[in-house]
This record gives sequence, C-alpha cells and structure tokens, in this order.
Amino acid sequence: MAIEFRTSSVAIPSGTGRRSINGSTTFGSPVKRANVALNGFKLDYASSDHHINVVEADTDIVSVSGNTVNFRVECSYADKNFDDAYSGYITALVVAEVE
Amino acid sequence: MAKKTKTSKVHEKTEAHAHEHEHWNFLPELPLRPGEHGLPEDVESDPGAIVIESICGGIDDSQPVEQYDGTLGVTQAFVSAHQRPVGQLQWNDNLADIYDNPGNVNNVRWCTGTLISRNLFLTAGHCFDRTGGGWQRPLIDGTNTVISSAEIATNMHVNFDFQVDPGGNLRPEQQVAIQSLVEYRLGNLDFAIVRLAGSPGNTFGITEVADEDADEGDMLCIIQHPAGLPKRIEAGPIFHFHDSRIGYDSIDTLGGSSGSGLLHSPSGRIVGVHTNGGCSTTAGSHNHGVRIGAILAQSPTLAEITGKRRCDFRTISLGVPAGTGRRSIQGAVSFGSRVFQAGVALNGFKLDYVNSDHHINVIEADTDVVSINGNSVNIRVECNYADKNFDDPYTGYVTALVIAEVE
Repeated sequence: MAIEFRTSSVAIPSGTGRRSINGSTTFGSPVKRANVALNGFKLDYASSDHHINVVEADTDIVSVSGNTVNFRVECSYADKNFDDAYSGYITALVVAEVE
Repeated sequence: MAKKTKTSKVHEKTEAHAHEHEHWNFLPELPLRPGEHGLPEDVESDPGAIVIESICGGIDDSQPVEQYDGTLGVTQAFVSAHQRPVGQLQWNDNLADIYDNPGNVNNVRWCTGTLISRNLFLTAGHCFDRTGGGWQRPLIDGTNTVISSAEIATNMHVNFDFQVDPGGNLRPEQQVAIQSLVEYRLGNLDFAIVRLAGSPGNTFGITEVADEDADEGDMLCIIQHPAGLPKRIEAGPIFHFHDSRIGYDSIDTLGGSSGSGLLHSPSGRIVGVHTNGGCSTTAGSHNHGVRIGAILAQSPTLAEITGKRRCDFRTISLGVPAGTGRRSIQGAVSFGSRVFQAGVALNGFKLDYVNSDHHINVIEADTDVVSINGNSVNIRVECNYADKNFDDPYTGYVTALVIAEVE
C-alpha cells in the first residue's frame, strides 16, 4: 500500500455567488483510488467588510485518470443580498493510493 | 519407471472442465490409517509400496528432498533453498496422560505446513477438524464430545528436519510445540495458522507468502510429508483454477501432505495450501488446494505479513439542522472489509444563517473519529456559527472524508 499526498491551491477570482472551479493534480504513478479534503481556504470580500449570511468551502473528486486526479472546489461567501464580490483560494489535499 | 515429463495434461483440459464438479470433489488428505487403501502397516519401512489415490498417473514421482535429482520441474537449488521451513504436524505422545479417552491419534504423524514468520506456521484447516479421516480424536473427559480445534492444535507439535540426508540416513528431527491456533477455516476456507513456541523461523528459515495468485501453467513445487514419511518433493504445473481452489494434475501427494505450501517456481513464494487428493489415472483428475488470493481475502494475519492492506476512502455529509449554539452530530461510514485504522478530515462545509445576515463572532467546522468497529468507522462533526449573542439560528452541512486502512 503506497499512499501519496498532493496539495493543490485553486484561486477564486473576484465575483459573486456560489462558485465551482475544477482543479487537478498529478502523481508519479497510476492512481488506484483517491479522495480530497480541505487543506485550507481564504474567502475575502473585495470591497470592505460586510455581514455574512453564508460561508461554504467544499471539495469533491471528479475523476481519476491514470496518474491524474481531477477534483472540484465549491465555495460561497455572501451577505443576505449575495451581491458583494469576493475572492480568495481553496487549497485541496488529495490523498491517493498509487501503484 | 517413474514419469519424467512434468507437463500438465493440457490436452485433456477441455474434457476436464466439462466434468469439473466431479473432479473437484475429493476428501481432504488426512493421513490414512495403516492398512487402509493399500497403505502398509509400517509405512516408513516400505514407502515404495504406496500407490493409492492422489498419485497422478498411477506412479509416485516424489523424491526425498536431499536426494532430489532435479528432474521434476524445479532445480535442486530451489528445493535446497525452500525445504527447511517445511515441517510436519504430529500429535503429541502423551494424550493418554491427559484424556480418559485419547482416541486413536496418539503420536500420529498428521499433516504438513510451512513457517511463514519466525513463529507462524501455515497449514490446512482440516488438520484441526474434530472429525474426518476415520480417526478418533480425544474426548473431553466425562463426555462424548471431541475436544475443540484449538485444543487439538495444542496437543500437536511440529517436526523440522524429519528427512533423510543425501546418504539416505534419517536426520534427527527437531520438535517445536504449538502454542495456539491463530486462524482456522476463516471464510470457510481450508487453511489454518498456528503459533509455535520460540522463534523456529530464526533456525529453519521463513517462506515468503505471495500477495497474488499464480497463473495457470506456472510451475509449483510441493515439499511435503506424504503418508507421514520423511520430507519429500514433488513438482508440476498448475492445471486449473476453480473458485477458491487451485488444481494440479501431475503433482503426487498422499494423506499427510495436507497443509503443504504450494511453492511457486522460480519465485519460491507460497501461492496456495495443499488440501485435497483426487489424482488418479483418469483423465482430468487432479489434486488441489486453496489458492492464496482467496486466503488473503480472509486472513488478517497473512494480509499483514504480505502488506496486503490497502487504503480506502468514504465521504459522509452530515446535515446541520436549523438551530443555535455549538452542534455535535455523529455519523458512521461502512467499508467493504475490516478497518484496521482510520482518520477523518474536513471534506467541506456550509454554514448559513437562517434569517438574513449577521456579524460573525465564531465559525467552526471540525471532525473526529469516535470509534472503529469491524467494517465501520463512527465519526463526529462539530460546528459553530454565531455572532456575539449566539442567538441566531443557522443551518448547513459538514462533509467528512474518512481515510481507512482496510484488509
């Protein structure tokens, strides 16, 4: 059993509403199975500070193909109007069993 | 004249497959009682007289390990390198001192097996069965109940070096006590592992266990104690796989060979455990054992020895119902096999004020492993989302990623 780890930071460009952004990371040998966890995140209102209604930071595996693991991060950061731009990053920890 | 060509009877294979059920159903190879099925009263004085079922093609090709001429399909060097960890299970000779009714197995040379670690010995499960072979095992005093399989095991020992030297002289055998029955017929497979006293593997060596099955046609070597005789060697190719079993149609065995490791050549690894006879002069007949792939799927001991544990993942999303204050919510995930250890991480979360937006005083999303129980991992998530008053209800989810080392 060989376990390997990769971290991959996905930038959240400035914008509003719920965001879904794909990322990928590559291992040195074929991946048998993999999953993903939150390594860290930053969500930052672009203009000053605001109340908060919702905070979300989530990760999902999309697919495993050869040496590559494709994943998706989803996030939301808003007050009641969902009209304030935010940016930041989500860093995913990909854990894989490799050959 | 013994046959010298050790090739599988592949030309008979189509027919054999058509009748595979009748050819796979043979009794386990417990030792035959003297006088049965052509076995002489004193088998050790007349081994050449033994020609009975389990002899493929009607002629016994086996040879004493230290007199092997290298013609059976593996080299002399291979046999020399792998014969020492092979031992013989024998009932102790004090059964009458222990039991009112010791049965008729006192001091009987019983099965074969192989050292797979410094003190673990792999053999066949039926060597510790409470019935079979026409033998009478000891009874629990004052009852008609046969002692347990675990107690059967501790009433046996293992003989190493029970073999003749190149000159044909019997070597002094060395006895090692059995301490416990570690695994027995797990998954209803005919294998067992016993723990021996001390560290005999340091003296006699250890045979490596393969982490996957061999292929049809690969060469096998069985180093064995057929009919309780001093150690002998036979070899031949794998004939066929059938469910959990591995068959070979040109490797002669006898009662007492049960439990022998099926050694793969040239790797020298154990790819199965010999259990059953069945060879005869009939086309398609063969002896067979349990293949290692099936055993590995059931045996935690072998899984650990071979490093056959793997990593697996589960995610579980736990909803956070509307409410205030710090929340603690438990959940469980189930894996396809036994979990040895596990950890949990945050896969994602969403925390959402039910009523409009508010300041934030605290935000928390946490995960913990609570317990591991068989195939299941119980976890807990904790979260908090509040302004300074902790009076605004929130809802959302926390998704946990459970990472486990499993069989």
